[in-house]
Amino acid sequence: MIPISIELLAPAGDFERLKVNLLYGADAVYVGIDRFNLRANATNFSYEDLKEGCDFAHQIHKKVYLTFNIVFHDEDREEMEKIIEQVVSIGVDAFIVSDLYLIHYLHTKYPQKEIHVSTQESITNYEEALFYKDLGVSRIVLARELSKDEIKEIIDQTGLEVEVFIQGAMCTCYSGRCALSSYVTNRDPNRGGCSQVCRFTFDGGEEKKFTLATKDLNLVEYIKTLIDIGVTSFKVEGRMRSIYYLATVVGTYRKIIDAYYHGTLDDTLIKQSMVILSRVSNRETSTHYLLKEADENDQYYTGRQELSNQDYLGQVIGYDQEKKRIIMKERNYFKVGDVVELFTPKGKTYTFQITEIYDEKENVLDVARHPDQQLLIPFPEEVEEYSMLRKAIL
Amino acid sequence: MKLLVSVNTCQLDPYIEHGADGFLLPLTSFSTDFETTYCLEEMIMIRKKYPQVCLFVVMNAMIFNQDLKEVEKILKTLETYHFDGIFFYDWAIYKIHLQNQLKTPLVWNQTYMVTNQATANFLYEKGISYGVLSSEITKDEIKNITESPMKFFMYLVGFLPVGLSRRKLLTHFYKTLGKNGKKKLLVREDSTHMPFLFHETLQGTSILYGKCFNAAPFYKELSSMSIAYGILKQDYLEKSIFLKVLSFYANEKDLEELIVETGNLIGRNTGFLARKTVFKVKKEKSNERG
Repeated sequence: MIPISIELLAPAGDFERLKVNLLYGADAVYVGIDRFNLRANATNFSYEDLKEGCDFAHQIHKKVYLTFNIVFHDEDREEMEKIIEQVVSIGVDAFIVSDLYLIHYLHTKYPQKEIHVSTQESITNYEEALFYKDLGVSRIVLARELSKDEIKEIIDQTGLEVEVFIQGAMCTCYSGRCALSSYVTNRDPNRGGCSQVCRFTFDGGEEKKFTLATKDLNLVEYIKTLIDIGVTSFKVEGRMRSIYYLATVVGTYRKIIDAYYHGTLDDTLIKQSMVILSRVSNRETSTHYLLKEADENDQYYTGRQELSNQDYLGQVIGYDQEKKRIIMKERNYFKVGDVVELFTPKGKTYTFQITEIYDEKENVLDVARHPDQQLLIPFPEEVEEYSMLRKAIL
Repeated sequence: MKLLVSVNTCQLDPYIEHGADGFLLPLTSFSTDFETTYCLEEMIMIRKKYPQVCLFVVMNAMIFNQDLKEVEKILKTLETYHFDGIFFYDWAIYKIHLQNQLKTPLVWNQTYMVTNQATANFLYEKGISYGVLSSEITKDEIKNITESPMKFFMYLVGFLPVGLSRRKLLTHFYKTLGKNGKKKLLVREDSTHMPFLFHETLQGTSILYGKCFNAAPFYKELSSMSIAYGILKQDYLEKSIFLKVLSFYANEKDLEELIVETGNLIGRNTGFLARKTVFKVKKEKSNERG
């Protein structure tokens, strides 16, 4: 087996998501605090949560990166520098930044901290990457508009760690080169206020109105290619996504990566992974720029669909050893007789039929119909907390 | 404040006569957000014809690996013709400029990213003497930033950029309609009816705000700040109207006239000069998706 060197990096909007990501196989997570990151309206981390998150991650030899990637204004600077001092002492492993002064500030004041250049800078060529290398950064997050050949050339020419997005939502414009949200909703996208105007409807006087909405990115079929060309880190987008989404996506990519390094990656696993990822995404997916110039098939324009499904049935919160039952918190309706899948942080998936459902008071139920209700389901084997139950999809 | 204009011709004399102190020349294939671009030969011809006029080259496009050799060649050529500066977005231009020890001043033109004094000071120390202020900051923020030793440009008039995509948004849209596409289109956001101009080129699609920006009501205040150049952009404005607006800005003595007359000609959109953007919004529903 080749030693695993690629990093799987996942988005954590809060402490629970951080935990789920790391348990499901992410090597590192990226998080934001209340301000100064591009998801100002996500839950984000308090200092206490961040400390707890860093401690949790470090105990299991994993990493936490802090997104500090706003384009700041003068009024932000003083508070920003104070916060940096605090979070450095908390123990984050790296800062993801875009502003050049901030890169310089971090590099000179905290030289022991890694600096990663955010995709907000939309790095599209190796000379630009070398400019950042000169400033002391160790890693660059590339623009999402690059082909695999362009990515490879940047890796070959710079020797920098290179992070690429493999899954999640895409911007219509280059990151950092869009102010649509400022103009339409007065919300500054470069300080975390993006209102996703590219998903709004526009009227160009033609027979149909249109959106600029993109399909999501999904590079599961090209993991091998990207490892082979020397990518350092695979990034999953979505700090505002649910724990079910994160568990599914991170768990799926973990299996693919491990299979690659174990020499067992095959078409069957890739096809299965495609099915799982397509069910959890609320939009269709595409490879966008990786193989060719993005075209009309990578966008919605008209007839856009935001799909939601009720696959996610609930989360395991414990196991009753005596009665051999999983204790779970319900999320979506299911009933006795349904065929379901139970998937675990350790990568196991069990398919079985629901034979009995009990509530907390041991009442027998035919159907589970109350979200957040605690339920008990017979299952012969103990499974870990944060295992999840979904409709059978494989 | 000197007045710099971007125009759509090689004949600069009428603009000089109406008060332009200099010109922006967007380079074909390496600039974005401008309706009219100039090839290198045209730029050289203009430089030779107007040796005393201030000429800035715009190279604000995204640059890809395959462009780098050409960029280096262009920068070296521009150096020999003594242009007054090069507007750039991509840091590859700075890096190549440094590697070749070129002397043409560089103008930091990262559109929405020129928003604070600390970064301006840092870049000034790195040898970048000019910056183009973001058009999405307030006049108070401008005042603060312009206390940096860096010299600044700011837009005074024009249809300003609001987005740039590598995607050929119009071609793709028209394909879905089964039509041959237009390369320019005025669209309106459906709920607010705000207008946007889409302009597609081989490099992708540039999106401009469809209401002309006009800084006239704040011109006196802005003139008192340390702003080296105000930029007036002619794109999508008739030449006769643009020349009149230029004249009013050039003869700024009567501020009331500047405000009223230019307002009548191009409208009264003052953008974000007196309107601060926000980024935190009240949570009305759960953020959770998926």
